[in-house]
Amino acid sequence: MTDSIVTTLRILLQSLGVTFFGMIIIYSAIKLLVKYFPEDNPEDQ
Amino acid sequence: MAVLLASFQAITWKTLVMYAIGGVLIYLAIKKDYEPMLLLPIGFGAILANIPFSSAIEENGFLTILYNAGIHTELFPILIFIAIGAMIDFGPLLQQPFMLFFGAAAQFGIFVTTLLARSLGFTLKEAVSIGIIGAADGPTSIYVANLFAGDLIGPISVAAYSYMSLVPLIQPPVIKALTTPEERKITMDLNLHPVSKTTRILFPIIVTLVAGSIAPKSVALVGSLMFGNLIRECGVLDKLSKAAQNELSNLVTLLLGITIGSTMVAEKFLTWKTIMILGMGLFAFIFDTAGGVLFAKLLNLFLPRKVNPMIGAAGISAFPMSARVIQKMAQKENPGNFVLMQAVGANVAGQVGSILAAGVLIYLVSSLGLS
Repeated sequence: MTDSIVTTLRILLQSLGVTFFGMIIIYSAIKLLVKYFPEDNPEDQ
Repeated sequence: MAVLLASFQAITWKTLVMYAIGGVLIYLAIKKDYEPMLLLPIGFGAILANIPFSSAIEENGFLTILYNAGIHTELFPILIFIAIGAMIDFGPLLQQPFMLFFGAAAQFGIFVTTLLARSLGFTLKEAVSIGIIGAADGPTSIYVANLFAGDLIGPISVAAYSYMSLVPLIQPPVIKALTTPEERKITMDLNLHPVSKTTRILFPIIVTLVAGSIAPKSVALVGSLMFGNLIRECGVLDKLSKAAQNELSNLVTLLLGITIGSTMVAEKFLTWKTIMILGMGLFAFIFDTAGGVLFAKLLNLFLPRKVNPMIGAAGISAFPMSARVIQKMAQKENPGNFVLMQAVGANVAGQVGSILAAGVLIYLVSSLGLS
């Protein structure tokens, strides 16, 4: 693979896409956590 | 006598310039309070490294040993991340997970700056290392620079930490240029639900698993950050949490700063590349801010309840300075406007976003097999 501007652009676009994809998964994970563990069990306090 | 004079005779104009740069960094740290914990050790380290025949940076000099042990092995940035993780309260983000997307959008500066550096003739590895200044996160910049462009670690670190301390000066004009007073007056929901302890404990584990699976190269960074956060949130390791937040953080910051300073040897530092890197670092912070604000404005076209677009700018991970800047600006427009919790949420999301982006870039660039 050559170190060209096209390669750079491809890597940057991939990176931007994967970063957003990762954030979408973490967002979904937080939503599930908040849904299934809405509050603390008083015995756990 | 000749031996005693040899050191003086070896002083060149470059040595004097480096003394001056070290002095300016120390001045900014003491007088202007700009990231004093880092800029002062960096400034002093720069002076130590530029004294002719300095024993501090010879083969077995203490700064050489620290460099090999802490920077070359990536140990110092990793330990700093454990400390940062122990300091961060992800509560505001867990209350408003939507802020995560601002944390991703405000990494825009990384991509634009990498492209700029590449077009200015830097190699891809150097360009990515320079672009990562836009992560607005010193340890991440050091981590990537050491991996891809060891020779540029000095200017990249100085740029990253200097501009982080200048966030209160860099962000406001960019935000003002991109928003109207009406937009800056937009209020945010103040009724945020508390987050359970279980959620707080599971969050760092899940983020490590998700980020590590998407970008295995980010495991060291995200894993150490989340390990520190788990220590904080688990509730049974208060002593370790406090040790990470205080002793570990202070000690490693001290060693990291002076070691980075030791890389600023005149022959390597006083080059056009350094000047370009300092310029591009500023460019990265400006485009990070712009990326966050413009993304928020884009979302406002579709959202029923508008977001204050300034929150987008807090998505850069200069924590907690950026959140404070946004709150201050919001209150200036409307004294009754409290957006701090949302800004902090975006700010800690920026921390996650910057590590994830760095991990993905490390993975993609490494996979090219470039020398």
